[in-house]
Amino acid sequence: MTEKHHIIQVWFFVGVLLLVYGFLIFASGLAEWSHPPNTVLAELHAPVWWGGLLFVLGLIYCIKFSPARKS
Amino acid sequence: MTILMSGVNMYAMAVVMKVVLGWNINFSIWLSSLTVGIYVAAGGLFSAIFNEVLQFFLIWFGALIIPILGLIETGGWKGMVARIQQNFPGQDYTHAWSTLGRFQDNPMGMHWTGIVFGLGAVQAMGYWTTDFLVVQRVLSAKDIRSAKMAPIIGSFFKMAVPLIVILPGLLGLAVLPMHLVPASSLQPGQYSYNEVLPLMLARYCGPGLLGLGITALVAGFMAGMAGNVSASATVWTYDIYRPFLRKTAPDQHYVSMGRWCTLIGLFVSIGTAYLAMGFASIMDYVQALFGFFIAPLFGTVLLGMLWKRVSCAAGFWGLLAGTLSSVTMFTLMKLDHRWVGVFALSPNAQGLAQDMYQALWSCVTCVVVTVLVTLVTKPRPDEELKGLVYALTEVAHEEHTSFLRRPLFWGVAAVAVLVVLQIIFW
Repeated sequence: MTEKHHIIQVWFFVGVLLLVYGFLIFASGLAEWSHPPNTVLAELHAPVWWGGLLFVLGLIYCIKFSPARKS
Repeated sequence: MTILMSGVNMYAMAVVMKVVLGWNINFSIWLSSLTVGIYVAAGGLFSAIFNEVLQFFLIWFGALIIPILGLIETGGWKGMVARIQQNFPGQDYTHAWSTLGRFQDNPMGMHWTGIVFGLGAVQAMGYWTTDFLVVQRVLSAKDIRSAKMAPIIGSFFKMAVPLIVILPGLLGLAVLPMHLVPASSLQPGQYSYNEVLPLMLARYCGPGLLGLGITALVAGFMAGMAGNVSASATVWTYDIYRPFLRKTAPDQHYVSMGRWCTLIGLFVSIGTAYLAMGFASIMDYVQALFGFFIAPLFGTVLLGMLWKRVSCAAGFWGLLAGTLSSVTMFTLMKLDHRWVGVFALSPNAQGLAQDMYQALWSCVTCVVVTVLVTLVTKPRPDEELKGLVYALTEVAHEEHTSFLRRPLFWGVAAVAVLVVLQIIFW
């Protein structure tokens, strides 16, 4: 077999997804920091730490499964 | 079955959009079906599985925030249990086995025999071995080790699913100011059991997290819808149309057939989505469907696979008898409550408990009829059964691999976790 197919792993797309969602949620958490929404436990600022967690996980996946990285 | 299940996903998704976004439920059903139809028809099974992987992560990260915040609000597990006992005095929602000695001791009206034999031995085993959505994913595995590992890995996540499904429900009992009611008796201004997850999302999440939460729920339902519709398209095209109706045609023809089947399946699913509305909860409906189709099929598959004497006629009549008996039991129990005491062994058995016994008896009916018809019909010669019956099939073996990569090791680990969970929540 001479032809080599290069398939981007699904884990890379998982990373991109988490990265984008993490960033958006983190940013929305910062935007509402001084004016928290009318929800229960709004003072905990869950979007900031949950969005941050998603962003970091997404970043790790993106780097680890990057198509540019040789396996 | 897959089409009916797809309808369940459509309805559940429409409920989320109705509760959180205030959208019209009919519009939501059509919008979701259109979206799924486009990506499944365009990409087929590959796109369905690819999206399922992405949606899997969205589901967990979108839904896990609810139990975390809920437990913070209630002051942990003990605080949650105390609030539930305060709101629902005398009812135990947090133990799995200790209240199953008598039907009237738990809110589901369940007895341990229903759980062990109906849910465990028939419904659960039937789901993992005969539900085409599950089987199809295993068949698409690259090798025998992956095929074995897929359900084992799935079992770990299945055991964790209560964290994002049952725990939010329990937290809803503890913190929600309103009392939820069955969907079938919903009045304006009331909320049904089906709406507990969207209500909890709206309780804790501001715009950003709410977006993720809605996406998580929508992703989960879309994954279910896409999987079920693609499964029905595959069954029709590969197992019925190709072998029986048109044996020789170019591949492009079968691809087109699969796409048309996907679209038709989606339209039929829309109709079945409205069926789900008539039940007390989505879970009641799903378990009833499993009782109709999965439970008798499990009996047929088990006998057909392990006993080479079983004939085609026996399989057919056994399956038909099992399915008809299931539908009959279900109808009788809904029409006249006295039948509940007969089939579900106690008049105190509630909807889900009835489903468990209905599944058990339909499987038993299927097995008995299959055995009886087998004994009076002519068996097939061994040569025709190679590759179909376990005893006459050469089973592929795994390549030699390290201990930690063996399915057996992870299978034993899954059983160990299951036992520990039973002890913790006894």
